[in-house]
Amino acid sequence: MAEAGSTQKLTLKGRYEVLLDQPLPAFDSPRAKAFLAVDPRGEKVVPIMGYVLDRTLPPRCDTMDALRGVNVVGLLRMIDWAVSGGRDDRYRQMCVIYEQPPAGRVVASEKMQFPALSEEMIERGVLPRMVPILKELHSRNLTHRAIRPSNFFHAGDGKTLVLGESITAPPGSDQPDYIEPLESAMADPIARGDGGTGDDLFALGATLLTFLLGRRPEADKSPDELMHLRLEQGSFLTLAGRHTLSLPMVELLRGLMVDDPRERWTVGDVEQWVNGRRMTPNRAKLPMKAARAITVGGMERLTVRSLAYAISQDWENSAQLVRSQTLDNWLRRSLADEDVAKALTSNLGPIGQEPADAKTVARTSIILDPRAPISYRGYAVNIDGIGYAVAAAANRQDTRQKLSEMIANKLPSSWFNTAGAVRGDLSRQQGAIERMSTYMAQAAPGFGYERVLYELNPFMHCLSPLIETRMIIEPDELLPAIEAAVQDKIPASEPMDRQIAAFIAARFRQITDKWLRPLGNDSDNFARIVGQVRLLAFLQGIANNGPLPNLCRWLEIHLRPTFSQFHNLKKRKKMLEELGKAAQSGIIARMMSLVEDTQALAKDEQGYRAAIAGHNRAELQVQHLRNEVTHMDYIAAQLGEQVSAIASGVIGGLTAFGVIFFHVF
Amino acid sequence: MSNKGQSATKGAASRKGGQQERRRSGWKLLLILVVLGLGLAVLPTMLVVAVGMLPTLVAYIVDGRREKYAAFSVGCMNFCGVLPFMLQLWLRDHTFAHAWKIVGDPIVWMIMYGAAACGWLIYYAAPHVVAVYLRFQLERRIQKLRGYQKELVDEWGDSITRGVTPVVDTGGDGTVAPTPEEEKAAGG
Repeated sequence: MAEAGSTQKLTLKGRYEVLLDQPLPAFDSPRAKAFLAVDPRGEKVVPIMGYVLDRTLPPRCDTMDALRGVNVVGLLRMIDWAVSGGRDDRYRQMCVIYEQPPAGRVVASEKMQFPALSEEMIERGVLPRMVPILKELHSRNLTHRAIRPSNFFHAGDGKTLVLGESITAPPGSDQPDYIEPLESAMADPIARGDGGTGDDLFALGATLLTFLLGRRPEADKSPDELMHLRLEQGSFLTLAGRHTLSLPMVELLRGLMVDDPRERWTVGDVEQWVNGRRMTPNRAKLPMKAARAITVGGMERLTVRSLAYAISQDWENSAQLVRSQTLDNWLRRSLADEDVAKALTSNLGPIGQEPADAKTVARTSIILDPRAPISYRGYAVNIDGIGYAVAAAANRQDTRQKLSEMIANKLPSSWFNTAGAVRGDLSRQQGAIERMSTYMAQAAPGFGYERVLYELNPFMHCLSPLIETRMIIEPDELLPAIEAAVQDKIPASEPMDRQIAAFIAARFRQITDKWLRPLGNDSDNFARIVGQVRLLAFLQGIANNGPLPNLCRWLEIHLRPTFSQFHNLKKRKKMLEELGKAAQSGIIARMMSLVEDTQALAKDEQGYRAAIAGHNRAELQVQHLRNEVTHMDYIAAQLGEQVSAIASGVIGGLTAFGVIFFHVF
Repeated sequence: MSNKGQSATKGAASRKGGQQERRRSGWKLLLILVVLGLGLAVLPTMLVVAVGMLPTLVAYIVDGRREKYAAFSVGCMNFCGVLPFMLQLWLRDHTFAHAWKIVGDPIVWMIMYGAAACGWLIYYAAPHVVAVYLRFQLERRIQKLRGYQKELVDEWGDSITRGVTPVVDTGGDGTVAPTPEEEKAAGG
C-alpha cells in the first residue's frame, strides 16, 4: 500500500476512485481492507466502497465477472472490479467495488457472543432472502463460500440481514472450521476449493445455528476435539445435539448439516421449508463404528473417517501403523470392513515391518476416506483447492515443498483413481490436475512449481520480481510492462526469469516443450539466451503492441556474445552493427532473424575451417622454404659453377668480339 | 623376361656403348691431328697460345668435375687475354721473332694471366652471388606467405593459429584464397 500511497487513491477503469486515506474498518474482510470509494460519473448516489485485494492470493476474476451482474436483495452488490491505474504505472492493485452495507455486522467475529436471533427472525428475515440468493448463484453455477455469521450485515430495518462479499479470498478460506462441511473443514483454509452449493447450504445451516444460539456452538472444545467428534458422531449431533431447538428448526438444520453431501438438503428443500411445507425429519445417519477403538494421535478412533483424519494429521507417528497387522486386524475384525482392508493391501502391498513413507501414508488416508482432502505431511488440500494453495504458498518454503512433493508424487491421480466415483463433480478437472505432475517433475524454467501455479490460476498476475508490482494478468501486457520496467535501468540478470517463462508457457498453448527446453540449458549460454529471445519475439509477434526499444536494448546486451560464434571478424562486426540497428527498431523478431541466420553461420564455419587449412598450408610451405636454406650452399655451389661458366662465356665472347672489332676496324 | 633375354639385351647395350666410345675416341684423335696440323702450320701463334693459355691447362688439370666448369670459365677469360696478341701476330708479322718478342714482354704475361685470374675470380664469386640471390628469393617468398597468414588472422582472428577446430583441408575450395605458393604453382 505504501507504493500507492503517494496519490492516496487508486483509480479503476478511469472511473472509480478508491480513497486510501479513508478506510472503512467496519467493513474490512479478513484478507482485504475496505476503503471509501467514489464514482464521479455515477447516476445515483449510492455509497460504495473498494476492497483492495491481497496480491499474494490468486484473484477470482471469472467469479467476479459472473457476480458483476448479480443483483439480488439481501446480497451485497458487487459493482465492478479492475486492476488500478494504467499499464505504465509502477504499482497497481486489484480492487473490487461494492455497495456499502446499510449497517454494521451482526457480529464482528465468530468468537464473540451476540444477541441471538429468534426463530421467527430466521424464518422471516433471513431465509426468505437467502433462498433467492442461493438459487441465483446456483443458476449461474456459482458458490458463495463465505456464508458465516460475521459476514452478515444488518439491513437497517431491524428485521432482515444482508450477506457480505465472497470474492476477496479463496473460496471458504475465511470460514471457521465448524461452518464448513467435513471435507472442506479438514483441508487447509486456503485449499478448501470452490466446492458446490452443498457447501453453501451446510454453511447456512451452521450459520443459522450460531444465530439461534447467539454464540459459536461447542466453543469450549478445541478444533481437533470438535473435528474428532464430528467425524465420530456426525456434524449435526456434535454441533446442535446439546441445544434445545424447535422441531421444524431441527428438521431444517439436520437437513442442511448432513455430512453426506448426497443426502443434504437442496435449495429447493429449503425453499419448501420456508414456504411451510414440512418434511419428515431425516434420522441422522451415523457413520459405521468399530467394536473396539484404535488409538491414533492420542485419541480413540471408532470410525474409519476419524482414523483417516488422525493418520493424515499425525502422519509421522502413524507411519508404523499404516504397514502393520494392527490396522489390518482392526479394519477386518473390529470394523468388519473387508473392502477397505483389501483395498489397502492391493494398493499398498503386503503388511511389513518397515514404516511407511509420507506418500504411502497419504495414499492410506485416501483409501480410508476417499471424500477427504489429499493430505501429505500434514498439509491437506481439496482437489479444486490445489490451485489456490499453490499460489498462496509461492513464498512459503515449507508448504511449497509439501505441495511440490504431493503433485510430483501423483497423489492427485491416486485420489482420482480412488475417489473419482465419489466426487464425480470434480472429474472434469482430472486431466488438468494430472498434467501438473508432469510439469512439477521438471525443474527447467517454464516448468516446475511456477508453471503449476500459473496453469492452475489463470488469473494470477506474473510474479517476476521485475514486474510483480505492475500486476500483469493479461499476457498481452507482459512485454509493455517489461519495457517500462527496464526504461530507467537495465538489470544485470538475463531477460527471462522462471516466473516469466512459466507465465508465458501457461498462457500460450502454442508454446511447446521444444520452445522451453533451451531455457534450461545451463551448459550452453548461447542456446539459453537465444531460447529466451525466441519466446519473447513470439510474444511480441502475437501481442502486436508496438516496438520495444528498451527491452531490445536489454536483449542486445545478452545477444552480443552469441555473435562470437562468427569467426570472421569483419562479418562479426557487421552483424553486431546490424544487431544494434535491429535493437533500435524495437522489433525482437529482427534481432532473432540475425541470430538465427544459419546460412551465414554455416558459411562462416566453412570459411573458418578453410582459413585454418590455408594458414596451416602456408605454415607448412614456410617450413619447407626454411628447410631449403640448409641446402642453399650446395645448390648455390652447383648453380654457381654453371653461372660462372655461362658468365665467363658471355663475357669472353663479347670481349673477343670487341677485340677483333678493334683490331680489324 | 628370361635371364637369357636379359643378358642378350645387356650384351646389345654394351656393344652399342663400346661402339660409341670408339667413335668418340676417333673424333678426339682426328681433332688432335687437326690441331697439331694447324699448329705446325701456325707455329708462332702456337707459341703464344702455348704460353698464354697455360692457366687454362692448369685449370683443366685441377678441375675434378666432369663438366670442367672451372676450366671453361678460366679458358674463356684466358682466351680473351691471349686473343689481342694472336691478332697482333696475324695482322703485323707472323714470325717466331715477333712471337718471342710478345712472349718475352711481362705486360703481355700480366694481361694474359690477369684475364685468366678474372676467370678464376668469376668461378669463385659466382656461387656466392648465386647464394645471395637465392636467399633473397627465398626470403621474399616467406614474406609473402607470412603476409598471407597475417591477412587470414586479421580476418578470422588468432584462433586459426591455434587450430581450435579440426583442420579440414578443403584444398582451397572454401572462402579463403589459395596461398601465394599455390598461386605461383598454378600460374606455372
